[in-house]
Parts: sequence; structure tokens; C-alpha cells
Amino acid sequence: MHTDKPVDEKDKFLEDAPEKKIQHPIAPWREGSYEHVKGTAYADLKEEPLPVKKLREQFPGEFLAYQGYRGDACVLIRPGRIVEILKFLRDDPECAFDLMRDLFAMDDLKTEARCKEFADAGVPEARFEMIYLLCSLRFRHELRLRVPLADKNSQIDSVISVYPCADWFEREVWDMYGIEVMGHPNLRRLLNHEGFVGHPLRKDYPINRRHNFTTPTDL
Amino acid sequence: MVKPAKEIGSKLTRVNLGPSHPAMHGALRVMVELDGETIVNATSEIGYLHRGFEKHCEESTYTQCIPYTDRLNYVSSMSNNVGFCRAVEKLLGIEVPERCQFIRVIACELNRIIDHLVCVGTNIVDIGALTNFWYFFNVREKIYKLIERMCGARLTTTYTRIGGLPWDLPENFSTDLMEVLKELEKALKEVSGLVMKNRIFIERTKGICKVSAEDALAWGFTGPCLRASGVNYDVRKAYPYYHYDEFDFEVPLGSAGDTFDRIVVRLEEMRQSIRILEQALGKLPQGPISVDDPRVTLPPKSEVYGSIEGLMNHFMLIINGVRPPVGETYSCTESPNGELGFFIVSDGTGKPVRVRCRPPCFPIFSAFHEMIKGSMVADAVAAIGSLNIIAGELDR
Repeated sequence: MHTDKPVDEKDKFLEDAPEKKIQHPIAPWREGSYEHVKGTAYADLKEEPLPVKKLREQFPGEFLAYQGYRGDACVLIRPGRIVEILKFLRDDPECAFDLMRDLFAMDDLKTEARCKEFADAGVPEARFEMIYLLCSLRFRHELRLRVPLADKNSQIDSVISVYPCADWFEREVWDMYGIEVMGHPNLRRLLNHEGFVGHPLRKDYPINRRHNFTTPTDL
Repeated sequence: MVKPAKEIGSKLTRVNLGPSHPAMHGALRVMVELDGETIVNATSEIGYLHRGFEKHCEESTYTQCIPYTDRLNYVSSMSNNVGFCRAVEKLLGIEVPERCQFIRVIACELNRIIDHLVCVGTNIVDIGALTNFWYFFNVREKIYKLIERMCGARLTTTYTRIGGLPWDLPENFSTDLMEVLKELEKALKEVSGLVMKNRIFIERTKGICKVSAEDALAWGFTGPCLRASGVNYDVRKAYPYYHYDEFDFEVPLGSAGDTFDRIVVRLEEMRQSIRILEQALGKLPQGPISVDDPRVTLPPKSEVYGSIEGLMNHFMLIINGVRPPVGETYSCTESPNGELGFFIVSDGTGKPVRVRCRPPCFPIFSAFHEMIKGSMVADAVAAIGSLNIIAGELDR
């Protein structure tokens, strides 16, 4: 379905998109935990690993909460001093997170449980999250940072100065979610073309919406 | 002595490499600014193969996502299948049976071999040597025949299921695989003999597009490209899964991080994969290939057609899908190109809230414009071949 309508009508179409609500019938045999399955692995990481403890000591005002679900160390962090935090995690000799595996965002619009996690930790108006995956080759530490961002005017500082590989990752975040990355030298769309309207991975962007390719990008 | 363009008052030339050219290994566009034949500036554009993998996953059940993962790195689809299923299984908190783990190791290593065969084979073609390509593709075809027997498809395999595998290995698989491995060893020996002491090959690749260990880490390289720079990081060793810590194999490391090292590391990795495959075939245990849980695994067809419980179970699993508990996980496997990670968030329903694929090519190609600065156009073509950029995985 190609729409040749002008831009403002396209946005109206976005608002008109019907909310998809399917209630899944719950079968009794599908409830409960999977822990009884033989060879169960991936226990939760109850005790905080060393980098998390150091992070809590160093940035008490920024540190929100710790999660160890399925053995992945995960920390909820306020967005304000993210560059300093990543710099500390990279340069501290006991943390030494020298590889940034991944940087991406997600939209919690229709996931109340995740919004509640942030609300419990003290950030009530979170909609988006930036997620940083760090890895230390020397100590084999792994750490995931979840940073809540507000719905309107969501902004976060660019971390290219700490991890250069953030360049394209941050462009992808801008392209897909419309989160403005402050201080990025070249914040343009990456996977979609320049004339694309909207940010496709947002939860309120309908999956069947189509765009005509408009203009080729001038590199 | 050729003078730079500035001194003789001439302008720099802009040339498009790609997006559609046999030497670009997929639809990639690189705009280079040339002074004579030397690249002064470069910038790259991707997205030609973007098809919304992550958005599609949010609208599908977990099982329906598996065919989408085939299309990520289409040169080695099975390793993507394994990577995705392992992530969902981690979210479920289950571990697949021993036999399934070994079969998945066999599938991953076979795919590592064919991926490296394509990468090294086409890379040497780009440099000008065609014969090696045929030696490699001969073996690759035989491995594809094996893969076809394993799952019925060659390219889009959809080999794994959440909680196990749909089919066991075919008959006489071990003996056939051992024969293919012997041929592979022969092909590796022949190609190494043709290129390793070949002066043209060495001069085209040694010292070309070097990446230091620090740069490689900062740019987020993983896999053979990182190891070619001398950094010892392999997910199979660092965070072992599927008994990789029990296999006896080595992680080949380069030193200079140039095109030559990247090719040699891949050649050596294929030899190590042969070792892993031989050990995995020797250790292959008997037993089930899927977990015994009606909430994860489809019932056998005899039960679906023979009992109401089986039919209901089948229906509910197909319509609602597997329903992991509320939570999020990141799981990574060592795919042929590097660390392939999947981050999955579940809200307890049959469809994931968010599936994030960490494609190994993505950070590697994001550094490409820096790598080729100061080298010749022909060197850029040799370098992009050695990086093994797969557009399907890069653009998702």
C-alpha cells in the first residue's frame, strides 16, 4: 500500500491507526515458572558484581537500581552524567570495560511493567530507554546500563568521545526512535532514507505504514 | 615523484564505490574523494537492504521470528537461528538437551566454515586470483548438500526451534561429514599453497588498511577482524556455551590487523572448526533433541492427530506461541563474523516487546571510512572483502 498523500495527511493517518488489542486466552497448563525443566540454567545474579558496587559508590545520585535477572548484571542510571559514568567504567582499572558491545533504545509506551520499574526507582515520566551493553575483555565482566528518557524532547549526550563505535549506533537510535543525541557530529538518518517521516520503531508507528522513496542522499 | 593535487592546483575527484557492484559484497555505498588514486576522504551509506527485522519481530511470535533471522547473515543462516533461539531459551530459563547442544555446535561450525569459504574465496577473487574461489566453492557446495539433508533448505534454513530442533541428524551424517572435512582440508592446503607465498597476493594484502588493537576495540570490532589485530576475544572461549569449553581448539590471532592477517585468521579458523567438528561427532550423545515441556515444544504428530490434549497443545503453541516470563536478557554467540547478540524483552505474552539484534558487521563497517583513508581504491576493495560485510545483517 503506497500512499502518495502529502506529509500532513500521512501524520493524520498515524493518529487514526487503530489500537491493536488482542487478549490472549490463558490456558492453565501454560502458567507457572519453567524452573522445573531439567537442566535449568541462568540463575539470577543476586549479589552485585564489583563494577556495580563501584558505580554505586562513585555516582550515588545517578544510581537508581540494580537488577540481576537471568544472570545479566543490569543497572538503572539517570541520564544526566552518562558520559562521565561511561568514562569511569572504561578507565577504572577494576572495571576496565574496554568494549562497548551495543547501544540501542527501546520504547516502553505499551509496557507498563517497565515504566513501573523506573517509577519505583524515582523516574516517573519515562517512556524511552537507552541501553548500553558493556563488556570487559580483561575481567570478563558484563554490564548493561538502562537509562530512562522522557516522552517529549527526549535528549541524551553522545558518548562518541568515550566509545567511538557509538557513532552509527546513535544515528540508528535517532533514526528509529527520534531520540536526540546531543553533541553528535553527524546526526542523520542511517537505515532509512532522508525523506522518511516519523520514527519507525516507536510503538505508535503502525507496522503497515509505507513510504515512497523521495530523494537520494547527498553524501 | 607524483605531487599532491593541491600543489599542482587540480581538484579532488569524487567517486562512488557501490551501491551495486560485484566487489562491494552487497548493496553498500561508499563515496570516496580521490587525489590521483589515493583516498583522501571517505564516507559510507547503508540501509539499502533494511527491511525492518526488529519491527517485524515485535509483531510476530517468537517462533515466527526464527525465519527472519535466516535473512540476517544469509551466508551462514544456522548460526543466526542458534543465536536467536539461545536468547529466547535464556529468557525462558531452560537449557536444551545434550544431543541438541552438540548438533547445534556442528551446525554453527559448518556455517562458520562456509561463511569463511565465501569470504576468503571472494576476497581473493577481488584481488585477482580466481582459481582459489573454485577450490573453495567445490567444498562449499558439498557442505550445502549436507545442510540440505539436515533441514531441507540450503540458504534459509530455519534449522532450530525454541527448546530444541525440529529434526535429528540424517542417516550416515557422521561418515559423510568426515569425508567432506577431508576434502575441505585438501582445499585449504591447496589454496594456502597457491596464495601464501604468492608475491602478488602478499603485496596486495600485507600492511593494507591496518587496524591497531586499540582502534579495533574502540570501534567495537569482534570476531576474526578483532582477532586479526591481536586481541584475544572469542565468545566461545570468553563466555563458553554448548560445551565449547570442553572442546580442544585454539583461537588464531593476527598481529598487524591488516588485510593479510584477516584472511589468514579466517583460514586458520576453518582448520580449528574442523577440529571442533571431529570432536563433536565423536562426543555426540544419544537422547532427545528437544526439551520435554508442552509449553515450549510442539507435541509429536502422532499425538496431535491421536489425542485431544495433543491437538489443543499444538493449536495453542501455534496460535499463542511460547510465552517467556516478564523480563529481559542479552545473549551472545560467536557467529562467523563476530559476536552476534540478541537482546529480547518479554512482557509475558507470546510476542516480544523488543528484539534487538547486535550485528557484528555493523560496528566494523562503521569504521570502514576511517580504515581506507590514505590507501588506494583497489586496496579499499581488498579490505572490504576481508571484513566480510554482509548487507543483510548490517541493515537488518
